[in-house]
Amino acid sequence: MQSNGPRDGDGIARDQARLARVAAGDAAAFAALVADETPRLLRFAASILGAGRAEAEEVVQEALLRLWQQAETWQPGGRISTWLHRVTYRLAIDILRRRRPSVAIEAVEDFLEDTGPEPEARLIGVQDAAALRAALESLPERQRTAIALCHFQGLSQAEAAAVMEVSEAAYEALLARARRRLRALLAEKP
Amino acid sequence: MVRDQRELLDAIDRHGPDLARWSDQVLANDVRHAALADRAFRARLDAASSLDAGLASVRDAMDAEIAASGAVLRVRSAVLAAVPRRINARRWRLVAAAVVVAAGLGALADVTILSPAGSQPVEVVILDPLVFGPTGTGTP
Repeated sequence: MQSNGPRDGDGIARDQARLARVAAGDAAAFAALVADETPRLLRFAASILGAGRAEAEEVVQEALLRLWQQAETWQPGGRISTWLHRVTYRLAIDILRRRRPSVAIEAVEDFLEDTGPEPEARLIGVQDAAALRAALESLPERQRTAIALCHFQGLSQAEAAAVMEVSEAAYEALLARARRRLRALLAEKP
Repeated sequence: MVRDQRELLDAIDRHGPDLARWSDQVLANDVRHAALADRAFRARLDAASSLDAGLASVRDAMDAEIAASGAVLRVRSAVLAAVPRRINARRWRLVAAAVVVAAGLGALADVTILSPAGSQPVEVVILDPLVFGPTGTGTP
């Protein structure tokens, strides 16, 4: 298993040592890893699939089990968390495709600039978290993922790009479009 | 280099409103200057900061919901319950590997220690009792 992702020498070395223990059958090491990663991954899966869905739990469970299965063949090339995010993302996308087979159209939507009202003159009522959440859920999947990786998961642009398997420049452009669209959606609200 | 406002606004959308974290501090300074010079530009920067803060509160709300739902415990339990079976399978594989290695070492010891290459081979000759008589009599 090659963990393609941004280089982070110390972190990668720590992860490698950790996975070596997991590969040797150290259940305690795996339990600690699961404890560390589960809350973040659940948040990420929920932000793609929608909160409160059992599917988010299934996706995270599967991603962690895949890590366990593949620990023996781990090739250090990135962080465990980046790899787990990528697997979680792929599994979540599979679920979204099964739910609604028109995801391909959404991919086109990602590249359309927003034509809604310009929000520059207005401060968004961010206190209204419910409105923001609704706006977030109405974003195309890839834009929502770009926002989640940056604002919820705290990943660097390099890590987020690795998760989405795009170049850093493409991720940056996607994130910019997502932020613009989110502001425009909120500005439309009365 | 003089940048127009559109370029600076695009930079805010790309890198976020926290100018201190930008890797390009020259560009960040241009944004600071534009925000000081133009009220509308400042409003756009404030709107971006406001969105940042709003997203942070959405993240906190999601964390609280996830914690309250018990999802973390359910996932951990399900994952760790699936793992011991794999530990057992791995242990059996280790036992099998140990048996193979032990057999190999035994064979190697037999060849190199118990039957060293320099020793004389023992030749066993079986005499036909019809020709040479019963064993031990020494008479034909």
